[in-house]
Amino acid sequence: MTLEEGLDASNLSSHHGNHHHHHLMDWLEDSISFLPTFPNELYSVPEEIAHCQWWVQDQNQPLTAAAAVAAVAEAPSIAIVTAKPEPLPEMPKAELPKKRKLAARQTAGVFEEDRKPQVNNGSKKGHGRGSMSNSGSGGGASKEVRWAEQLLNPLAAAIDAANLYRAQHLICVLQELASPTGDANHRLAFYGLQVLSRNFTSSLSSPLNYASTDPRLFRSALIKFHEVSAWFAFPNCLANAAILQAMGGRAGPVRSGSLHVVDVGVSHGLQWPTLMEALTRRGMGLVGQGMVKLTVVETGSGGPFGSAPAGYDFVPQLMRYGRSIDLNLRVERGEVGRGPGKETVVVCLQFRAGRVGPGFWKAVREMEPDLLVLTEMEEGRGRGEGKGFARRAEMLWGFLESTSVAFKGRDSEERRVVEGEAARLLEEEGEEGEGWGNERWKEKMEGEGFKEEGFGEEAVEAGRALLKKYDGNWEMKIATDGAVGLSWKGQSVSFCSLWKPAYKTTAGVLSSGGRRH
Amino acid sequence: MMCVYIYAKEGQTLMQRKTEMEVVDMEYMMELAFSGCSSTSSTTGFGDLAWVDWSPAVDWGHFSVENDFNGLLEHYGLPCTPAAQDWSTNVSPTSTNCPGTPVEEFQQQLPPPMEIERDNDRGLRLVHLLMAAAEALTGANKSSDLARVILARLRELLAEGGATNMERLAEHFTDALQRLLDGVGRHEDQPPNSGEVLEAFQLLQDMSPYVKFGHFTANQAILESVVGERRVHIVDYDIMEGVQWASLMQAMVSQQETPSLTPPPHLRITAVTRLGGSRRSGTTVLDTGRRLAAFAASVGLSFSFGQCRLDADDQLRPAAVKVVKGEAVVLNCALHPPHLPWRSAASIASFLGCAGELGARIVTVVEEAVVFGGSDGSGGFVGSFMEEMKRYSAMWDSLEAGFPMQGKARGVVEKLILGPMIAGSVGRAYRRREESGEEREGWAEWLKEAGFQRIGLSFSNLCQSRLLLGLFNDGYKVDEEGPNKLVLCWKNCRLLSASVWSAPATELPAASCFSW
Repeated sequence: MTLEEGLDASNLSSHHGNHHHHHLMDWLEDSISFLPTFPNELYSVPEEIAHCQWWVQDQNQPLTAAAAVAAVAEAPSIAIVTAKPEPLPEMPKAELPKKRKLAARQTAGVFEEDRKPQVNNGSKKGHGRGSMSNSGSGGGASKEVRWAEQLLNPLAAAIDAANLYRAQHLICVLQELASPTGDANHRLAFYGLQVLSRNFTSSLSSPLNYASTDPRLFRSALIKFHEVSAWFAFPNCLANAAILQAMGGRAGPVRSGSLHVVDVGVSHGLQWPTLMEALTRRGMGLVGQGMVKLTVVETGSGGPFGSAPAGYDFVPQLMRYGRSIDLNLRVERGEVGRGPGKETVVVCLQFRAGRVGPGFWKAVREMEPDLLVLTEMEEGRGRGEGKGFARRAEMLWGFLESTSVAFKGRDSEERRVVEGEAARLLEEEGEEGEGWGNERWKEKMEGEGFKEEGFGEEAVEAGRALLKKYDGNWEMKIATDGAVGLSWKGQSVSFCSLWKPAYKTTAGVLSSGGRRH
Repeated sequence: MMCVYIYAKEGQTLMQRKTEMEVVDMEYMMELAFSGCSSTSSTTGFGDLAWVDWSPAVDWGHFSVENDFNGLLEHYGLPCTPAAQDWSTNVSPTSTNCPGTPVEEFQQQLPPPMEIERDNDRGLRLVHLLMAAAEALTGANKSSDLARVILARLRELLAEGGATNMERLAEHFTDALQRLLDGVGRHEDQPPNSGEVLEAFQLLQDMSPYVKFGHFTANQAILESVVGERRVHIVDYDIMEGVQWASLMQAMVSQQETPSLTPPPHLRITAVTRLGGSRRSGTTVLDTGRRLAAFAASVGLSFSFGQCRLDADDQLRPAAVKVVKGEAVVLNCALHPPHLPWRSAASIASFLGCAGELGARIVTVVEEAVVFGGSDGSGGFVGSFMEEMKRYSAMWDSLEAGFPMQGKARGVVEKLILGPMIAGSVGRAYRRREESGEEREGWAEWLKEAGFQRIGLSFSNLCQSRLLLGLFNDGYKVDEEGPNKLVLCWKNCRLLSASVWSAPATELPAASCFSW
């Protein structure tokens, strides 16, 4: 490894990187005219779920203790376990139990108050929450306390079994314990309840997430999260290192020529300044010596972390940044497809592979990329028993718990946006492939005509260096087949693997023959 | 009667007049009830003395416990004096001595609808949380972490809430679950009857038919079964203060007033006590005996008292009970009166099992109407827990409905009597998961299986129960369940039952029967 390359590796990892980091911030903080601030409604979380008032009762009469107990106990909720799953009666929404609007309590009010520095959220739940929240966010090796899933999974099961009483009971309990602040359990309960109770309520407002937030806050949330958590920073770093690897070969000379990166990811532009800078340091893509082309693809962007608020566009900023470092950059929004002429083509498929659709694979094959970077969530957390909702809840648990540590337990709007978006992990899977882990993706990729490549030493080193910046619970694991995994507290979170077309079409051979090493 | 007169002097309110009218109605009803019965079976405790002790116009000021028996039995035997009472601080003098409150006053106290809705809502939230906590303590998804979080949330809710009936009830159930979570042992060894507990017990007697229902039904059945006997021997499983027997003595003596009857029999009571019973409980039993003896002397009844001990494993051997030839033996088993320490099912079974060998003429059983939960994956605990919630919430409501203004008195009863009862009931329901088979929902079922025969309750016994309930709130009722069992209910919830049995026939005369 040359000295120069070593430096590059550390630059990639931002380990060294005040210098680099400043550029990144320059780029990101660059004044762009955003759309006017969005109306406030967009900040509010969906209307809370139906309250559990499903008995008929004169509101002017105090409920006796016996009546209160009976209201809960007389419901056939005790015999739930054996309840036969019958099809949910077609129940018009209006006939569902009266809804009580908790919205004021848990939504707008909470967010408003959250802006105050570190005042435990003003909701009446705040106090005890604070005291309980230490357990989850210690970040040490302390025993993991996980209770939210023990309510959410039975709720999901009750809904599946159309056991309305059981579901309402669990919703009532979850309502008491759910909070968008507090430890990861309270948050998971909050987001899980939000998703599961959609069946019972018509939400008037949309949850706070990427799509519904203000572009300015969205950008600052991306930056902040990148800074404190390895969740996306690590895979981005690996992907960039792999791109450099494809450009330069292992220890070979820097290749001249053009680079074409197809961005099918969820970084919303955040991944690229680091790559751009690393390229210029290696003398690649400089004006007059080649060109860097970035194609931002929309396909499959509807999943978690894939959306961006209206009015957010990172293209002008990237262009400006490219100019400032003398990089010959072209950014365009488009489709998967090879441009004319010689270029090294890398497809970066990150956290969206489950939603791209069958046409995508065909297009990629025809494009004959030099490299395809695949990053996806790992399947389950090792137990393999979690399916459906339980699996997704487990994934969100990992996210919330690591994020709690990343933000050192502190609440901020940025954290709220990122967590709100992560809650979409709980939503039903889109298409075939979502929720697969490395193993199943491997089969899929081989079936699609790709073969796996290993990471170069340099890339692995870059990843390792990056992780040092983050909490000690993050770990990198290199699988025997070459994929690099990221884990949190010993549980796999995501994997990153490299692929090349297994064979070349005639046209591909003709057009790119002789260019390859 | 004295109470009623005093009320009249204080100025008649609507309620007072009502009280008086109830008294008149009762006299009328009693005549009806008893004139229709045979003269021998109608000898009950319904003498003059019965009035006052049944009067719902209880003497709130009078529960400082004197150490002598008469003080304790005052509510049975002596007219009460409406002393200035201090339980309720914000009620008008006219309402203090009345169980009900004039309607106008009550309406002023109704909280605004918003508040009611909030309270109701909070009540339901509490019940949901309690049920979830119970579930978290058992079952396939047992999670002490979850239970802990739910209990913490319950405490938050309770801390920020007011003190509605439901909230106070929920607090006791929260405590009970917390004990299970913390692994605190059985609740059976609660401090022995301190003066405070006794006071609270008396309050409960006055505020609800809960205690007297069992005593009266059992006593009436006993009286009817020993008519004409010269010697009556009662073997009492848990005598506690012996309150039940004072009223029986009075009833026995009152028979004398009917010239056609024989003089009252000699009454002998054997208290079954625990071997390991602490010095304190030992002295309590002796004290009880002394008090009973003094009381018997005061009413002119021939009386003797003894005790026999359970084995080391809390079992009773028939030989431990000395039975004299020619005496009518009665086994009385009042299970778990409010402040009684818990006894194991095996111990109770051993006691009841002695009936045959002792040649018991009658076995009276008073027990709580416990319902076991179904199999819900938690070993039945959640179901049982909810049943207990129902039962105790009914008691809570009954006390509040009867005595809306006596919040402080209710508070005392709840804290000292019902709270420990709840802890005990919840603990038993929890342990039942593991010790399945040992307990059953009711001893009546056990007795039936063991070959005991039902002894039909007399019409007058039923009337007596109805009269008793008539003195309290409308919500109480008594259900007949089979010929030999009465169930005290609040609205539709069964609280406790009294049943009467005769021992299965034994082939051999018991070896332990000998004559002196």
